[in-house]
Amino acid sequence: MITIPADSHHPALSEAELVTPFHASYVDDNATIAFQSEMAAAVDNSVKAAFAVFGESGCDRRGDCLQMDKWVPTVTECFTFLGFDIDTRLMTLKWPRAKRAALHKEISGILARQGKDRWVSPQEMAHLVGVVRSASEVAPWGTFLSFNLQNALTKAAQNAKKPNRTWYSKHKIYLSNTAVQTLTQLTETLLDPDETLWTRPMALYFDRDCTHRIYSDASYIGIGGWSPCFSFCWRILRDDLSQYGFHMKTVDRSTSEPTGTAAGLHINPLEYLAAIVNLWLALTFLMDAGPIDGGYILQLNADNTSALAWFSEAARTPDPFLQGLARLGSAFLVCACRLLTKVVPTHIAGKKNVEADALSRPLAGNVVPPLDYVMQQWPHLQTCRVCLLPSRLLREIAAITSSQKTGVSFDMLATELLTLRPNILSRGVNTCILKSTLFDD
Amino acid sequence: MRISRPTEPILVHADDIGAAFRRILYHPDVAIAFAYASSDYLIIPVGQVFGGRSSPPFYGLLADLREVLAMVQPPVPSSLFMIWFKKRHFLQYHLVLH
Repeated sequence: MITIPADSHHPALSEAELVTPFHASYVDDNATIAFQSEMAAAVDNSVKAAFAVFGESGCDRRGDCLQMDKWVPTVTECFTFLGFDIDTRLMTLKWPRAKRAALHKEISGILARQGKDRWVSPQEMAHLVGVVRSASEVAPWGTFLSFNLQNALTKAAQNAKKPNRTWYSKHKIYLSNTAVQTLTQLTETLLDPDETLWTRPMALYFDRDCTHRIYSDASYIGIGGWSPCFSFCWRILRDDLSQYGFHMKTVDRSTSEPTGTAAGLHINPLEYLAAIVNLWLALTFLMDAGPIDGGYILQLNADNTSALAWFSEAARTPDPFLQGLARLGSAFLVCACRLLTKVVPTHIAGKKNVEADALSRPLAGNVVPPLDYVMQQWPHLQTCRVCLLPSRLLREIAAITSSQKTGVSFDMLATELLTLRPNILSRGVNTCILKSTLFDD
Repeated sequence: MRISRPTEPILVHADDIGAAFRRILYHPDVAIAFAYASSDYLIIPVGQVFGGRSSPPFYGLLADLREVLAMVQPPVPSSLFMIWFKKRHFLQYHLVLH
């Protein structure tokens, strides 16, 4: 049995509510839910209700509303409803293995096509996108993969000169390397014995009060983050980001803003990078803390809507850097699921994100303030411990996002990166000389 | 339910209403809009058709009604169920159907 703590979204039920069966309808599909002792009465009531609304048995020439060939004669703790396997004992939602096996067979057939025959029709691609997207409700990889395939479909539609009635079934979408990698990744995960990839605990499916909050922000001068719940703060300045392989824009010394059309990372990817580093740090803390009843609800706060959107709609962009970063972000979300953690990307107004802003931004006159100065300025940061991040974390992120590796590599990389640990300084340690909170490992 | 009783089994029964949309009848003035010709015949559907945009929301009213009925426990046989419900929830029932 799984224990889930009550919160403001789901308070404990009253005695009257506890003896009331629950009934859910979605068009013609219905489910009656009750405790074991009340189940017989609940089903009886459900049947009476159906006959009362749609007509008694034997009274309608269209047949009974509840027909024997569709009637399931058993009540159970595990059942399939609206396409998902629901287990009220383990409290999980799972994308059924039969559906995964069918998709695996379909993709294997597509990948077996060689050379010039390696194409799919828009109809096939739309079917793949739809099926994977339906699974994304419970599978963290699902969203990422479906958008990746959607890119190929959108591109084909844009390139079509005159879409006609046969276009949908006859047109050829030749599979790009990215699409092939995505399909390969899908086939590798679909039948994986580790079913957590396609399963989500119900406690992490519904809205619940957050258990921990983390905040991040970025500027062209650096990135930073902190958490009042974990009591940590960190920052990395642009010189160190450049040193570890991130392509930073050239900035004006007086304004700290990019000069002209300088090439390099836009502020949105930097915000996303800050959020990913913050997420990595929080996950290392949660791994060390161990599991709790109901799992962790991690509220990931940032003041950049694009960066937050990439967490839930990763890889909409064709930008290869963002594709790589998004794959890594998705891989961390998969790791979070394994740690019974739900990540809730949340937008916070820039004027309220003052601590993270102070960690990532220079003072007037483009002076980068010493870390202890920033911590003294903001009361919430005074109780935080400075976290030195392993330089390998940045090196690996910079390296992997600039290469064209498959998603499975990202999964392994994320798992490996979570074996690294930050170096946490004691409170009161002199941080005057610290620019970026990094250490060489 | 799991929050309140962490150790008690929670059971589920799923069912499916057969020919769901067809159980909702069209007003005669509207039914003709869904008519179609087959061979020498003009077919006018009496019950809602599958594929009609209005079918799910109209059916949904009765689905919601069944949902509410299934969650109350009247001390009467099913034949008197609707009468009991109308007396007890006349106002809400009236609002839903009109």
